[in-house]
Amino acid sequence: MPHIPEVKTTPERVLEEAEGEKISKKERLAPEEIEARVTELADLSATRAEISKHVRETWGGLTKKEREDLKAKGEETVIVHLDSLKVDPELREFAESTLAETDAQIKELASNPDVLRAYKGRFETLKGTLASVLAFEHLQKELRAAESREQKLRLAYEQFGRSPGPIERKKLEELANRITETRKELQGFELDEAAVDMLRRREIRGMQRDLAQYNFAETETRTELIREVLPDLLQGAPVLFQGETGSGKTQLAKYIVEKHLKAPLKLDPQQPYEMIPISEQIKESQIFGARTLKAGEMTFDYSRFVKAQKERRVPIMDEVNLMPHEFSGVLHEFYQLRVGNIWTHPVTGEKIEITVPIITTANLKSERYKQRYELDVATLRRFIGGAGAREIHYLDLGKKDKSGGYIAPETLKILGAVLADRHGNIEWSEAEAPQKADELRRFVAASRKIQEDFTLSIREGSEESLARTDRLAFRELVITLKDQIEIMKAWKSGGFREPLQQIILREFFHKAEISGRAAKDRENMVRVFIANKFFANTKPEDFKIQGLAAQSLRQWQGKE
Amino acid sequence: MPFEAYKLYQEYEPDKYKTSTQKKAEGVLKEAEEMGLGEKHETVEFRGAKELFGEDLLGPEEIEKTWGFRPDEIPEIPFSREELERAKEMGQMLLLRVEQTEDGKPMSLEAMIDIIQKRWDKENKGQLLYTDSKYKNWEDRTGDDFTKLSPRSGWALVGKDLLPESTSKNYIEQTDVIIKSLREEAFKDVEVPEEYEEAIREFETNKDRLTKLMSENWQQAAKELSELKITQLTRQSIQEAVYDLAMYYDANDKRLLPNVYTWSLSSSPGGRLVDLGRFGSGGVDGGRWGPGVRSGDLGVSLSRRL
Repeated sequence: MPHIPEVKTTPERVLEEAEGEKISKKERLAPEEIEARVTELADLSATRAEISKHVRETWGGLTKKEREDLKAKGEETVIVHLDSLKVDPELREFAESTLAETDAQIKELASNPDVLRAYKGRFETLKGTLASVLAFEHLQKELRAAESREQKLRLAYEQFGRSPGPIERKKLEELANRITETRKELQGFELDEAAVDMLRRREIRGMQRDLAQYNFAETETRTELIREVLPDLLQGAPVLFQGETGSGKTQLAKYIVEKHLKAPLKLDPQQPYEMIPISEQIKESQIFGARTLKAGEMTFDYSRFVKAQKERRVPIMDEVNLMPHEFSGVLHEFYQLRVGNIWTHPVTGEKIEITVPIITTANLKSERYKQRYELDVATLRRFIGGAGAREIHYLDLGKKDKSGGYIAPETLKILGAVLADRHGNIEWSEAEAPQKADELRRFVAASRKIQEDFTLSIREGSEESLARTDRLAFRELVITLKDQIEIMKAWKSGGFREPLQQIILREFFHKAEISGRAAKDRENMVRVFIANKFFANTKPEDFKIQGLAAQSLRQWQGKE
Repeated sequence: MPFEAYKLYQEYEPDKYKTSTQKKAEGVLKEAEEMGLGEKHETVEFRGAKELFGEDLLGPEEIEKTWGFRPDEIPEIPFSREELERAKEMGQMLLLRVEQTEDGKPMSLEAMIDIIQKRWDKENKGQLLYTDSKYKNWEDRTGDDFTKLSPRSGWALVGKDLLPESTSKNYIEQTDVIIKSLREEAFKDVEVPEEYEEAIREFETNKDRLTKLMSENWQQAAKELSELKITQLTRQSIQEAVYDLAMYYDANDKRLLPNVYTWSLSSSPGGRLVDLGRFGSGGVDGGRWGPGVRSGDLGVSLSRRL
């Protein structure tokens, strides 16, 4: 078990800081009152950490000691400091007063020795659970590391087309043994309910952090995909993510660079990737660079793509399928290069060292999709020889329960993280939780159905399938995970007071209406939502869909 | 009491975290199961299989219902009790396939449509095969086989759903999943039959070469993959998949593979490997793919006759 250091609890520290103030009182409390106060104290202690962080940020990262030192130098020095940080002094005061109020509440509760004792007891138990959880997570990480090391070694041997020698075989054998042992250890690991609860909450917290930092949350299928492409990417092979619009290709590319490539490839820490949107109108100068006249002298300005290589930024070429055919040759050359290779710039002749792999994304569209394995084989081969061309579909696509109904475990996990607070709880009361959870599940099921049908419409053979009675054609518009997250955020920010369907109307249908596109798609979406028990009494005008017939709507609502 | 967010999806991750108590309970159950299974190796009679599989056994009676005649000879069920129990646990059905119609013609796709479609129209049961062009799409997928090729006859164990983890995988990766499933589920704790061992060896020997070939000459790779012993032993042909789906639907009023496709062993005339599924009221749908394709709704159902 990892060592959890002996630290004072937050209430103990707050009381210690308040030493000298008269705050002692011994009130006799019933056990259930003690329990309630301990819970309140736990919530306040958790909140205090957030507020305290906020205060530190408003002071430009100064610790309490540093802040006090600064204050000791006088108000003017403080104002100069805050001015330099462009912080509104009122914001600072607000943050500090909130912290002071929280401390006062903590002091009030913790001043009762019985409450403090019970709190410390709970804290000790939590520490034990945390130690167990950390040990478990450590084992999981160890297993992942060993598996990825083994995979990397095997790939390396395969790449050079030779079998491992005796020393390498020994190394592989050791790794295999370690993997088996770690798996056994994990299998036999003693977890109690509290530890399982904590593991699950920590998983949600991890996703919340990733969503905040990278706008991306790693779920099982994405983790698997990352593990597949990472070894090759680290060796500099290119990767292509192909998928339907809104399936998260670009976000995945950014996430891989930020989280998995930045440190090992020593990428530019401020800007580890360079987004290069490709269009059908792209010019040669946008690929190689162009001559320009500066201060009377001709110079050559390298393109963002070339600069990215020189400055250790991974080029993410978005929608590479739109690249005009005449430039394919240039790219093919690049796709075959690996980290450490030298590329000679065709105009300047400069020898440029390849420092990073290329990540590309391509949208699957019906008219192109059908031909991609026939006409675009040359390009695809460049990827298959490297990390490969990977298809990224909407999360959970194709998953269903035993009765054939759509299920969306990974989507629910991400949306759950969005809806939850930092402790992994959603602010639904016990009474309302079943109904709210049902609303959420129906929403996810409707979104899944829309994504399924949209995907079908761009899959080979879709022309046949779209004519089928139980499928709806979605040609342009789809509800992406991002849309679902935005809807969840709006629901949460309103304290879940409004029914979810109101939020869907406002955050999706009305926003989609602004673009005025795809009225037919939006009509079909209404049908899907009605089939999932939404909008049973919504009027046609509330959807803001041009041409939506009242009679059709009434039929879908089962009123005619 | 707030609502724990993980409760929204916990049911889908039953194996992710287990408490020590749950693990112990599983251990005891497994032990009991093993003790119970130790004695069972005899060939199973039809009645015993019916008891075990219930509505998931599709035998002579169901053939009569779907194809309009009762076969003269019923072969013995070639699986041991232990294998059948494993199959049941894996969510497979046990069904009898016939290769000829009542009047001795091949049980081809054309024949299946002839036998079934009119009745289904009357019973308002929807389409057998999806088409909007008089089955031209199926002729494109099968060529001359549309009127000629029939399912391989005999008893078969067929997955009612795709093998877990078989989606988003290319044909070779799917084969890996099949082999894993054979070793870890279908033949768990029993000796893997020699035919299968040989088929697995053949696949393992050629796997790297075929993987390379897939990107160099996918047509040749598709042809070789289709002919592999392991493919022939564990995947359905187009005709078998349609036959199986039709029988199950007729018997149980439930369409299997409503949202996904299973990748068959059959090649289209252009050399692509055909998948089938999305069985809705419009009928069984299909597509043709090079073996390197991966798709979230494309997996494989385990089907075996030995």
